[in-house]
Amino acid sequence: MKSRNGWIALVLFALVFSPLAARMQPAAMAQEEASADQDLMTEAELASMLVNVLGMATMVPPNAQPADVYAILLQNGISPKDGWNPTNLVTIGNLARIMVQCLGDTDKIENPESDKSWVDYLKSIGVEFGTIEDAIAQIDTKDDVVALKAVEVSTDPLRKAALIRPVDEQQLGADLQFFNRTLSREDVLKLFPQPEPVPPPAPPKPRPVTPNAPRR
Amino acid sequence: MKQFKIMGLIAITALFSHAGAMAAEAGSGGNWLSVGNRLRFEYDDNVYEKSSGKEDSFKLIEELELGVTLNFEPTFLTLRYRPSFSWWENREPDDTDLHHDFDVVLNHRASPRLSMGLKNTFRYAESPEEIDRGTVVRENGDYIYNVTDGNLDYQILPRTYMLVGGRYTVLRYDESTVAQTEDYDIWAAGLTLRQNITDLSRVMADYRRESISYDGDDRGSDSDYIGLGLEHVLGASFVGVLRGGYQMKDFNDATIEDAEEPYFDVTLTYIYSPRTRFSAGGGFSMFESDIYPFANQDRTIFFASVAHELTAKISLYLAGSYQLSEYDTDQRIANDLDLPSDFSGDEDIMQGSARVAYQVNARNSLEINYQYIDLQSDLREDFDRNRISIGWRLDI
Repeated sequence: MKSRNGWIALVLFALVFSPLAARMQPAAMAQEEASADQDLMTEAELASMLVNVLGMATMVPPNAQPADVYAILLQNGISPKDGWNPTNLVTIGNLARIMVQCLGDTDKIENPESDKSWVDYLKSIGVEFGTIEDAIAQIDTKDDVVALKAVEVSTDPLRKAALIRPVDEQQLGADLQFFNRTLSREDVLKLFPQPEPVPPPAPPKPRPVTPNAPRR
Repeated sequence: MKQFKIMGLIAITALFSHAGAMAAEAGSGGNWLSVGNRLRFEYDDNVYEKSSGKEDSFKLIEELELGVTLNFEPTFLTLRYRPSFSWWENREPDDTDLHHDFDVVLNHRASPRLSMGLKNTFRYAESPEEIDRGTVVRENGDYIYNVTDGNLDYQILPRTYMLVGGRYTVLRYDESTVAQTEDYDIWAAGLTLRQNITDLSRVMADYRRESISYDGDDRGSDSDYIGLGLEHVLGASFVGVLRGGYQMKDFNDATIEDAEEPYFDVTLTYIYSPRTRFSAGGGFSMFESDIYPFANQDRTIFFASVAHELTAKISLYLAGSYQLSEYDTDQRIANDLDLPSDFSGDEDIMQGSARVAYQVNARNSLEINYQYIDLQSDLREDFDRNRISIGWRLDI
């Protein structure tokens, strides 16, 4: 117990006083402040919103980390031109690309390397937007979402998979049900029948006492 | 009773399908509701999961999925309800199962630095009869399972985030003899500090506390986890997460010694091309035990999967997993059963699945599925099982 408390104290100390935590990056800070001030959006914010808007929120862990968000978006073919970079600001070209990917029309783009092709395609099908929020409001829930994580392997008590999953769940791509077949005490008793308890010896019967015959 | 269930399911399906069609016709205002229906016809070669004297059966599986996604930026609400009904051509004494899944996710961004999330996962399932070594070990394994998660993510410094989370899990079986030893409650709470070391890499430090308690014979425990993690994103092609640390577990049963073991998990996503995506992962840790009277199992699990678009309309999905569960005699709770001294050992579970989906049009798709499972156990009967199905999926 003493060693455990020591470990916990050590980790908490490391968490609070981590030299990494103190590492300040003025450029990143300036960019994030600019983003907040000018109502711009970073790719991290866009990715987080997309997971909610596309109906993927039930498929990522409750405390979804950036990697969870990027992984499920990539698995469903949704990504800016150069991949997800949390500090990049969202550009019109990337936004158009993502909207087309969400529509499932990627194959219809003539020149995928050119941002203009993606923007032109949206115009050709009558999709127009003035702001990022406008664009997001036009994105529908995605029907054919795929979660390639066949089984949840996390060991984190805050995100590990439900021990229990209904039989035949096969909704998300080619997922497998986590194998769980409980063997309860009752089941074990049936597998290993217990010997009948030996009944305690019956107490000796009291010898019948003949009542005194009434005297005549 | 069965007729009521079937009629209820049909009524719900009709109601929501109608609502979905109306919402779809309403145009952009109808984006909040999605309705999907999946009907499969399956052949199962080992209904009772036996090693010999297998019974096979055809079955029909009907799954309805209703989704509601509401965007009140900065608040997002997602609801998902999925009832599923199975009818077995040859399964005695009960030839139907009805399950219900209901998920709620509420995410809110209170400020550019603070976001909060709440998630609830509810499952009600009718588990089929289970047979082991030729004996029906359970007639009815119906259960209710619920997990509630709450978390708060706060940006402390420009590149430093703190996550605080809590989780409550409850499992309740219908049948009292099963509930006696299997019903449990799990509380977990924890703290994570996440530091962006570059734009694409993050390191994490975790502390978790978990408490498991059972209603009956106490197989419960309290655990502390301390660990570190690393996340890395590489352009549009790679996402990797690696976590590891040390778990210290105190068992409620005084006869079992405390255990201390390392844990780890890793998940990788690799986008080989826009048409081909890979995912793989693995993990090792002490875990709740499925088997009485064990209070613990050491669980090792791995998986790999691939999705490949053969053409614009045909997709192929392949997945495989391996799980090793190790049960130690020293981690059996004190009990009054006369069990063999060697009632301990390993279980190896291998699973594989394949699915080919053909998208007929924007709303309809057809699919062929195959699933395989193989269980090798020192504790109960081995078995393997093959299932193959054809299905139709409709999305409104």
